[in-house]
Amino acid sequence: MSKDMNAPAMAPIDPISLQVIGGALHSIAEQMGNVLHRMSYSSIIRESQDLGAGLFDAQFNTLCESDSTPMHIGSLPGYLRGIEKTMPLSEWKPGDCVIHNHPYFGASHSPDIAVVMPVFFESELVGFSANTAHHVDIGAATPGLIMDVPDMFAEGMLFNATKLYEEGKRSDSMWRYISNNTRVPSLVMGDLEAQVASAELGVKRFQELLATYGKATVLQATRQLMDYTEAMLRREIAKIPDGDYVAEGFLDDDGRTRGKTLPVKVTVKKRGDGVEVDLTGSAPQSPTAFNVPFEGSTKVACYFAFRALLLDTYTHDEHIPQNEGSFRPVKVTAPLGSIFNPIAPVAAEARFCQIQRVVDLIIKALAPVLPDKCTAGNAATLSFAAFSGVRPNGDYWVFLEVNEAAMGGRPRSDGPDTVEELMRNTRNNPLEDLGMHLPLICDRYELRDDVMPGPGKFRGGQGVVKSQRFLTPGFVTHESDRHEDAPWGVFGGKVGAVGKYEIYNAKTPKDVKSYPAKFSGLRVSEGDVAAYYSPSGGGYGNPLERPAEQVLEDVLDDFITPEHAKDAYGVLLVPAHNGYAWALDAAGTTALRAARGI
Amino acid sequence: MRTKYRLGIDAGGTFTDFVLAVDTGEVKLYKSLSTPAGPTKAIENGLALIAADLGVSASEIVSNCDLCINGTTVGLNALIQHKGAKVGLICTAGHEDSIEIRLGHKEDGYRYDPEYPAAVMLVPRYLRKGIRERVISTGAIHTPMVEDDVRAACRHFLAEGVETVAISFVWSVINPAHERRAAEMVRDMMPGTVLTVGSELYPQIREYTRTSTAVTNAYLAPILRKYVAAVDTYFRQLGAKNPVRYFQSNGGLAVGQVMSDRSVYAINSGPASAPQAGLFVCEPFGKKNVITVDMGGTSFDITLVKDGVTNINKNIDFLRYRIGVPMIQVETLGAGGGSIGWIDSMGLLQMGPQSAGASPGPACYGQGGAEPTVSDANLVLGYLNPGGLLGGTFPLDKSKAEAAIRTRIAEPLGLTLERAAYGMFTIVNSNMVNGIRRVSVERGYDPRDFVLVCAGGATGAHITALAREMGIDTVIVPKLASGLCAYGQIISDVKYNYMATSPMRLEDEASAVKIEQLFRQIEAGGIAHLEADGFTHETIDIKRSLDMRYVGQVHECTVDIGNFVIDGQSLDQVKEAFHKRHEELYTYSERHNAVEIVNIEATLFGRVEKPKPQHLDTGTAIRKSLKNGWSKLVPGGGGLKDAIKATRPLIFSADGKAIEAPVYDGSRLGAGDKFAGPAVIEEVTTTIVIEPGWSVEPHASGSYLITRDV
Repeated sequence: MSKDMNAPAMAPIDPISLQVIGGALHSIAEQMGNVLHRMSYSSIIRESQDLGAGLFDAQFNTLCESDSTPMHIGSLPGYLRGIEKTMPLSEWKPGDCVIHNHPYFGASHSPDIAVVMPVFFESELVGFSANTAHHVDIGAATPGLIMDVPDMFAEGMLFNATKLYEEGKRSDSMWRYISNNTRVPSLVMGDLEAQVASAELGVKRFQELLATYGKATVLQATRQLMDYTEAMLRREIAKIPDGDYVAEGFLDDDGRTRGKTLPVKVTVKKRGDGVEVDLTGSAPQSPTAFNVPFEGSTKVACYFAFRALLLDTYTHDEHIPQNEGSFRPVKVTAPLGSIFNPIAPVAAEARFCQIQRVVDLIIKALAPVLPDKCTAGNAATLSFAAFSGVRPNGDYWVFLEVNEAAMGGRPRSDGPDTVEELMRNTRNNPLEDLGMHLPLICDRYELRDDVMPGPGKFRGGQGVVKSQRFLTPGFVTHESDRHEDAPWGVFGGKVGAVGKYEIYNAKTPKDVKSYPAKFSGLRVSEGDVAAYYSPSGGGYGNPLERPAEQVLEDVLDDFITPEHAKDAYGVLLVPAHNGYAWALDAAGTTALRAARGI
Repeated sequence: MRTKYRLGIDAGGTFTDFVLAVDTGEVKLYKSLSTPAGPTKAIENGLALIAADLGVSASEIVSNCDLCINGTTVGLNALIQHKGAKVGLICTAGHEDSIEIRLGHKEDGYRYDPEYPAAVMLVPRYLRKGIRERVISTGAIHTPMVEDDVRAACRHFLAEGVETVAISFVWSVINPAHERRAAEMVRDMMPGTVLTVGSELYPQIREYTRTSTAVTNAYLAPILRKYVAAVDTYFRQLGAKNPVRYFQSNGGLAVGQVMSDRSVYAINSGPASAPQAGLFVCEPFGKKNVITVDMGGTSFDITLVKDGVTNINKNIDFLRYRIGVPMIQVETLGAGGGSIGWIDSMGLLQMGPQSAGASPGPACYGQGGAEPTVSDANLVLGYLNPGGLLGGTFPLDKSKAEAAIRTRIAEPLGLTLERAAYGMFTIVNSNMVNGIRRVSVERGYDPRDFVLVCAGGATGAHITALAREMGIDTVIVPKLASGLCAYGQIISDVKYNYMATSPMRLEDEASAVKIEQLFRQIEAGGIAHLEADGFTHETIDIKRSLDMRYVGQVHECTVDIGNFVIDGQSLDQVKEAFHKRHEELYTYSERHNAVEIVNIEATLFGRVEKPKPQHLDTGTAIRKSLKNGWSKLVPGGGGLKDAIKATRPLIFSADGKAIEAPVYDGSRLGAGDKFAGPAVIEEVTTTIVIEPGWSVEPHASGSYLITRDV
């Protein structure tokens, strides 16, 4: 370890230099993220931007991160700590480049491969430049995604501090090994190259920054910036009354044993300006891949929850540097052997639905004391579909699709419709692009019309429906949840709607088969349509207090029916004169609402 | 012989700039307050100002203009304020919500935000009508269109009072038959309704972008139509010889009819002329790599030109609406002269993005503003004239600037007034530098290979500091900097983009022939358009580009290709152009990999004769200032020394120490009057600060060439 890092802190840097260095760090992380997504091949990285990049000090503190998917970056310190277990700091040499994805050594989950390079300055290790990206296929038991598998060895290639470059020399045998063990080598190898380029850029820019301002100044500035972010979060935490706050929910099943739900229990223990999230009482670990790596995912979800809840960048004018400081006030506990802290060798690849629910339950637990910040129940799930097949020439095609869901009603506005809620933030794929390359037709990609969003003064967001029709036979694996436990309403708001998955053949559209949220390696035939309906958010506040004009608009816009307007909102409508619309029956509405106590 | 003019009118947020190029080589700049409520009013006011200055009538000026050019913000304002027309959308059933679903993510900057605001829909859901029909990627009709659905939609729109209709179907770009038939039916049932057809406006792959572009166009078209009619009529009545040309976001001019039909091309035209203007002022110096920076009161715009070619954006989110059509790439930050300095709750100094705007404005304006702004810092640092701006006609109150900075920044941070002011200057510069990095370094360009061109009234005070931070050695500041965008418009050509799409692998003669045919087809349409506007074979230029990618990639990149005939033999040339561009953008190419074409685009230029450029006489003659802020030649002057009108203490370092430096009267400097920094040059509409270590040479073309001392 570098001497400087242990040296007593120097005098504080003036606020102006601090701000300039903070801006430069953020700009470096942004550039790293941009290089990664621009250079990559797969649509999951390039179009969806399922990636993260940043710089870290030699103690693995996050110094800065790209504005990409929050899940990725909070996980990188876990990767670095995991790598250290195999490869101590003293072993790093300039020009080394390591890949890592081991779920029991800090990785977020195995498809998220990290590429890490050391940053040396004046012959000393000062930190790391690193990024993670979701890879389309790492040679797992089923193409792209897995669910019902025996253990972590079915996840595919696991790397634990594996060197792609050693002191600048490329390990050709390693590259060949990877290429031979993925179903889609052209995508995976291209994406890895992009990750290396991004990490190299980070090394170079970090060194330039150190040369410009001096190592001592830069490192002192990063310490102050971390303290700054930490203090901001602690200040907000301190405003919450001390106490234990509990919320519970349940997950559909583990992907194998149908009908057996899995409890999730969150206890938020707030003391002073710190907080502990205790997941004791949640389900034991699953025998399938439906488990959460503790270091790389469980902890990250809890960090995210407090950052988003308390330091929302939309309502905060102040710029909040995104660094390690936002992790420090939050302690996370999950019993070993539970779904949030599994024991090897159980697989732990399918983890996102669980942690989305943890975030949502943290919000639910704190709702009584944070009515101004909390939302009603979000969809808080994931719909991750792996479509695949074999082309006539024997090449595999694999396509990973992420479907949006919705948010719950909010203290001052409706929950947004069809959006990637909470921890996820990837982008969809242009349908015409997919149509060009894959034997799929997208029949429907629109708001759900089979359910109504959770009623409330501020209603829940409406989920999405996406129907993909196979033009040739293929496979589908789907990782999702929340077909059973609907997003809750809050402060008088009502529940939203659960999700569903249906498959039918275009020739016999009436013959619909329902599927659970999780299934793996399902064979589909030509003309089969796979239709996913995502959950809709719960409502916030008493629906009878929703302005009648907004209820009318929701009817006109087909979000809700006139009957639902009456039943749920106490709003009476009459046909409009032009014959195409509805108008408000103001007197009738007032009377009806009065009768119901408003 | 009578004087000939060319007139440029560029509406901005606060001011409308008027540039009048006279055939004597004189270029005059006027400003009048913008009148967003009645946009033609500002034009009348400005013309009255010019008429008074020149002592002739407005109609005499207009009738002696070869061209009158207008950059307008009516489209932009309608989009910002969501005051567009009532739109109905006709689209493929099952895809009615694409503009609502968008990219499905929380947009940039909102990822931690449970409260992030949903985008306002330009077409509410009840006016989005799905039609049962389906074309697939091969162009084959999978489901024939149910015409009754279109009729029902029209009846619904009529009942709801829809003013403008957009039609956009999935894969219409490969087979537009359904869109065309639906358009016929709409014209039939809704005569007089403004109609936008996706496959005509933006015939490129990606259904969401195409639909969103069509919807935005439909939303703005009735407004632009009305505006164009008013301006055209006004100028016709004043005796204009030629129809007014409007400036588009693609960096070129268009006649009113095109602006009315393709209104989406109008949305960000303001800063889009900066690259053209930047290239023009750099031409005498032989520079073709140009970064322009334009700092106004509230925002900072950056554009980049490499090898004489401007960066163009396609498929971007503009004000949260996805726009496909080509727009000059402009990076905009919330950093301007009015940007407010504040200390956050944790004790860090922040600059902006809040701005004091024009009212109350910076504290030094003395209009009641109490917040310390960038302009206040610049005044305290000695950069701005304490006697006031605009030749002293706009007074500044230094004591108010000092008080604001002292109480809000210096005292809370425990800094001296001077250090606090320099800190504000440093941080706003650092924000701007990070923005310049985004458009240069991040896109694969090394800023050190570029010249920095200064535009906008507030930029001059920062220009050498920005160059220093970026490692740029050459800066060009036109005397017209504060009206450079308006100037850029009057030297621009007419420019129309024509597009087609034809996804295919680039591998054999047949694909080459197909591409050539498609180019010829769209170019023929463009040529006819330009010929109708009076251009001839000699004055029409064509630029071809292809959107290409390696097979398997998701993103394509736009590659300019030469005007050679594309056939089996020249195919390798096309591929080579792509490999090269890919290397530039992404650092690598894959020459072994198959290449595919996605989109085809021809840009047609109608070359407009340039007005006579500005000319500055050599320094032995001295220019005498006139009352109106302009100057004329006085022979036998007294040299460089006479141009120094005062000295002022200027602060150039974080320790707050001042250096006594000369202040030059820009109107008294002649070409070749070289001098070294530190110094300040005061032009009527801008102030240029020269840091120590930089030297200045006024050039005959009317620009200051500022270079870093070796």
